[in-house]
Amino acid sequence: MISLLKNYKKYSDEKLVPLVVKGNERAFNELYSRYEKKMYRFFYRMLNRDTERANDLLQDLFIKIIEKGDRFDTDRKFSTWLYAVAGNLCKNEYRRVERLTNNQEKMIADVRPGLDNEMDFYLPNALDRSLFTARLTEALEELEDIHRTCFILRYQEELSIKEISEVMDCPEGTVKSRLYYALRKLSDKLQVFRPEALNKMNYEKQTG
Amino acid sequence: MRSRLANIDPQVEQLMRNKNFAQLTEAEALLVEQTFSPAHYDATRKTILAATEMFARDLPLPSPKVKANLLKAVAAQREKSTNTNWWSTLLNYPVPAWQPALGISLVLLYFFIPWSNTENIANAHQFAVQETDKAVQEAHGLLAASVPAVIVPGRRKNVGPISEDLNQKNTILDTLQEAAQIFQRTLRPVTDRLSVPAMQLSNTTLATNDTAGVRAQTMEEYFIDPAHIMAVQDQSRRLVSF
Repeated sequence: MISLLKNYKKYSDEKLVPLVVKGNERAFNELYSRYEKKMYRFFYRMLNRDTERANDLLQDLFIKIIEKGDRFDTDRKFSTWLYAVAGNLCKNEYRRVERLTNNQEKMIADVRPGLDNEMDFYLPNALDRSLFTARLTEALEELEDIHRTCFILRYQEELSIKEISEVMDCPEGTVKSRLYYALRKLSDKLQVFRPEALNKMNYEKQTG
Repeated sequence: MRSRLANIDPQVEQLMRNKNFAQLTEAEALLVEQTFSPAHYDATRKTILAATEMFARDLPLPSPKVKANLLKAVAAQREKSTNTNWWSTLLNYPVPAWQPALGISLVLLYFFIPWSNTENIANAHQFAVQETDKAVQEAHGLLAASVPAVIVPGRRKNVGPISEDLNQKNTILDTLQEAAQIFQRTLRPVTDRLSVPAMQLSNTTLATNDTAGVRAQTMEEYFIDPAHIMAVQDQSRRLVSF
């Protein structure tokens, strides 16, 4: 009876998890409100903005907490564990999609409108912010899974290098390396927006 | 040299978030140039800022259906948890709610324990078998009835009857006993005058139970002494002749 009056907002994530496993609805509401948006956006970004699949994976993630939360080691940080589980769900989803629609994806990539053609952006107004963002989104989706995961955890979820290393279960040096390559690839894909790249392209065009 | 390092220093990354290459101090520029060329530094900075801005702007929300489905799962989990080990939840209360719960349980347990002594006594009374003597009653000088001993449930004086039937029976017996006593009192002047004991109490009052309509306390064997009859007849003859 006394416990009903408890304010779960003051509870840590680690303390809420065992209550959720026992079916405490108020504890679940509190935990869900803390992570629903974060995790949904993580899935949304990791699944190339597929809202339906993002909702499915969000549900799967919290089902895992409700039914198998007792496997969570309370000595660990909950958010790190949550991102690790979410990352694994994404990997499974990639495998599933790859198995089912490998050829279809290739076809889609082949018929993308001329965004891959850098010369299409060789226009004074090509540096428009919205266009840049659109190109960035596409470039992000084209990254390898591990690089994309690293990039999203760092710049969307704003996890520290150490936290990312725990989530991805790899050394911090590997995380730094993956981040470097992710940034490098993105920058390369967006080089049309760099003045020096444009100058270089201009020069090459003039000299044939 | 630059590409061989192939990782990003968090310090450089922090600089990218705040300054373009032209704004860097000499020491910062030296640090940055270990990994990036000035152009590459600015390009990467632009990517990071654009991505951060895009992530902050593009904020989709999950469907409310997800939460509705999850709440069902929580309810199912609660039911499952309650069915399996409801008692263990008592120990999880930070406030020691288990103490009053334990007290209540003990009190309830006290009432449900079948205390052995009470039951034995009750059983002993319910199934006690006691033999009684036969009751013989005189009626007009003849042996009217001979009631054999019967086995009846045990009954103590001033203790409530075992069943309602027995209660009714005892009420009838009490009435009969009173009627017998009145009858005896009415006849006493006559019998006293005859100065002959019409009845004699037997010593067979071992029985504590009711038998054949006579209460245990009045369980008597009535018999007629022939000497008394002859004495009475003799006295009657004398009175007649007188």
